[in-house]
Amino acid sequence: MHIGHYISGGAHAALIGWVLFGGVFRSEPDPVEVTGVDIISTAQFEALLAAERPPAPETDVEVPVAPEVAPEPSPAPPEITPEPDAPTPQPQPTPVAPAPQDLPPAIPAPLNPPVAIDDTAPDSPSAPKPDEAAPVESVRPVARPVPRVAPEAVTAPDPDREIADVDQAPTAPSDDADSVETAETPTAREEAATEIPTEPQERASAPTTSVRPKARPNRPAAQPAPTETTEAPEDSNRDSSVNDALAAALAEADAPAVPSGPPLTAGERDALRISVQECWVVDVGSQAANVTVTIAMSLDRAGQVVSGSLRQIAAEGGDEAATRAAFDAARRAILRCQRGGYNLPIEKYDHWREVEMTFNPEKMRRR
Amino acid sequence: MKHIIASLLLGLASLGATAPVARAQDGPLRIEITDGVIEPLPYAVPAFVAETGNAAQIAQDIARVVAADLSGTGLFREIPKEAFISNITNFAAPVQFADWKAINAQALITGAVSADGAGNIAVSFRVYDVFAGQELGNGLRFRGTQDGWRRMAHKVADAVYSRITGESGYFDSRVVYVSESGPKNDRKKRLAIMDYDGANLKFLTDSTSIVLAPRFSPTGDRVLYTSYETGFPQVFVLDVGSVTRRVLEAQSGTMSFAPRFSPNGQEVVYSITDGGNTDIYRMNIGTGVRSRLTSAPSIETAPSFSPDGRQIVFESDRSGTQQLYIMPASGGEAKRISFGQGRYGTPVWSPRGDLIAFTKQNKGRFHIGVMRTDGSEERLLTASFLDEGPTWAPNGRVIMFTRETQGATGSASLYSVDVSGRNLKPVRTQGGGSDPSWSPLQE
Repeated sequence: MHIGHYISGGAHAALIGWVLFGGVFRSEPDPVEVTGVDIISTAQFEALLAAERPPAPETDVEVPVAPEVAPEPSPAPPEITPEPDAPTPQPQPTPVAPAPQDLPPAIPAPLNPPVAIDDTAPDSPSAPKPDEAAPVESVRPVARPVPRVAPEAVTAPDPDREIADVDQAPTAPSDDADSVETAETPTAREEAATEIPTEPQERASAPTTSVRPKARPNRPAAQPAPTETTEAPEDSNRDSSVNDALAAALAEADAPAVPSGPPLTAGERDALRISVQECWVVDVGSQAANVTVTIAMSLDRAGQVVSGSLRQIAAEGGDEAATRAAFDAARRAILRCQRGGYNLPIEKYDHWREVEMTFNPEKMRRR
Repeated sequence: MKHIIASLLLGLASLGATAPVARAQDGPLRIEITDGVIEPLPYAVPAFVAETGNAAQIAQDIARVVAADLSGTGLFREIPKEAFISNITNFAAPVQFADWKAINAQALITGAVSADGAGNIAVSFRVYDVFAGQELGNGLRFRGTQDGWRRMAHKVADAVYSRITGESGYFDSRVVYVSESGPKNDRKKRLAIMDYDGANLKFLTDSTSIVLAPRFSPTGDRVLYTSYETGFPQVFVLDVGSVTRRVLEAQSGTMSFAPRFSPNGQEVVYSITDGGNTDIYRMNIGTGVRSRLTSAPSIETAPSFSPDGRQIVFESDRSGTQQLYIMPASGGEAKRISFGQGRYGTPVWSPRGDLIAFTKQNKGRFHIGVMRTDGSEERLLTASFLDEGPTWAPNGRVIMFTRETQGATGSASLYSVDVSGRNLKPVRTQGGGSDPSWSPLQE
């Protein structure tokens, strides 16, 4: 009897002692990051700063050769040679303007052959065949995490190629002994993706509509039974009307005349913005750099600006000349970077058919 | 129960049909562009068409000067002719924009030159926005003598620059400066005048006496400068056309220096040192009437008018260090605008009126900088052993200044820099040069 008490008491005492002195509930201290610090003298510190200091803001430029001038005149006060007759600007342009019929089209042909765009809506991935009710797997491209976003997707260049604006194949030195040309350094464009990788979005190859559930098949007509009531035919008629309503509603939803699909995502909008800003040349020292200009335009289904649709709808921050220069620079950016057409999801055409772009150079002025 | 399910299905179907319409974006897609690129704009200048047989060489020369002007700004980059797909052989023919787009020429400049055999030439030109497929402005024609072909080229370049940037150019302008020659301990100085690009150099004075700080009049026909030919500094005014001069301030026993014209060209502000004190004065050139603008016991000098003629910026050490101040053009209370470290001097008001260029000395180095007229947004554009004496291009876009190298063999030369701090480069001169003053655009 007492042996049990002794054993129990001893065990409890051991447990209490373990809790108190064994560190059962003692938390481990948080790890502390330790950074080594070297104590250096002021001279050493200045030497370090000097080594890391960027070069002075000036550019070494070759001193040009002094111009050839006439020999120095005699010590007597020299004379200024008479000024030539100042060319008189003519208020009216005298060159004969080309005949209107000779003028090239306002929007000439693009540099690259335009990508063939079918105006019809993409095939629906959910063709309502009874035996293909399973969901259709999308073939949308996978965006790779490339730091640069450009209008054209560019694969990673070979490591031995120099990054440049254009692809340049390596050229072999000429065998001609008289030739002094050296082999050109092969260049390649920087790796780029057509969209911001953090937001993979639906592209043109993605389905435009989800797989619709098949309508429930009509029930077989009930055999008239003398003992049945007339409620059964009413249910059948109701089911039929529901199916008809569903089919009609779905057909209406798929009609091409109505904008379909969600609006452009943030990633798609950013891709368009980045495409344009890569061509927006800002003269930060000019008065035009104080002008914020808004341009409206219409895009066709290929993503190209519709001829004659590009127009200025707002401007602020400068006089007429500065505003015109700002508009011209923005227009050049839009037209130059469109190439074969801006890369926009065709299934969302109704959302980017009309575009307004505001060019705000405030951030550039601070560079 | 069946009725409820049917109603729900109908409702869902109705929602499904209307949802895309509800999600459709109202109005156009709106994008804001806040980032761009800073790079020279590529342009093409095919050889100008010689409309007469005797104009072939001068047509080439004019096109070269136009290209040199534009590329020299750092804002434009000429596309080499080797890259051209087609050429311009007929000035009046329509331009094949596709050929120029293919080489990424954003601007195309075409021209034609004709000579009449009597020493007169005519230069026509057009500027095209290649990607817009249209002309920027209308074509122009300049007429002049064959001797003045460089000026005509500069005028073409000015017009092109203006049409692309929206600002007036500065190529048809001149610079007056102090030409320096000889060793540092026996340096010969005389006034020289040249085109902004160093061409057509002429000397205005001989080197028998030291000359300093020439300043163009607003019309470019006169030059103020300081000369030691009487033994102590005095302000002279020189007529550029006749190269005749007269002393402006002949008060005996005083030193006058740092002159500058008022915007209307009828008055001059300058400094006079009398009895050890230096103050700023204003004089009507026509009447000789003089008024004193400052009367502090400190040194006040280097005055410069605002473009509207209502204010004057100057340097003073009244606070203990050399700083910049602005006062009314008639004198009165001055307001300090420079508060950074170091010493500020030689302020010059921009022709645009928005900036003031200055020389700054700090920690053993000299800088050319700009700041807003209220002293804000100070930006240093250069740094060297000795940079000083800024002068503005007539459009307020470029600053020219003096840079002097260190040591016994050091020499002074002229440099220019864009107001954004880019495109720092030497200015072509014969020998050394200092104290540049940029003229207005020539008429």
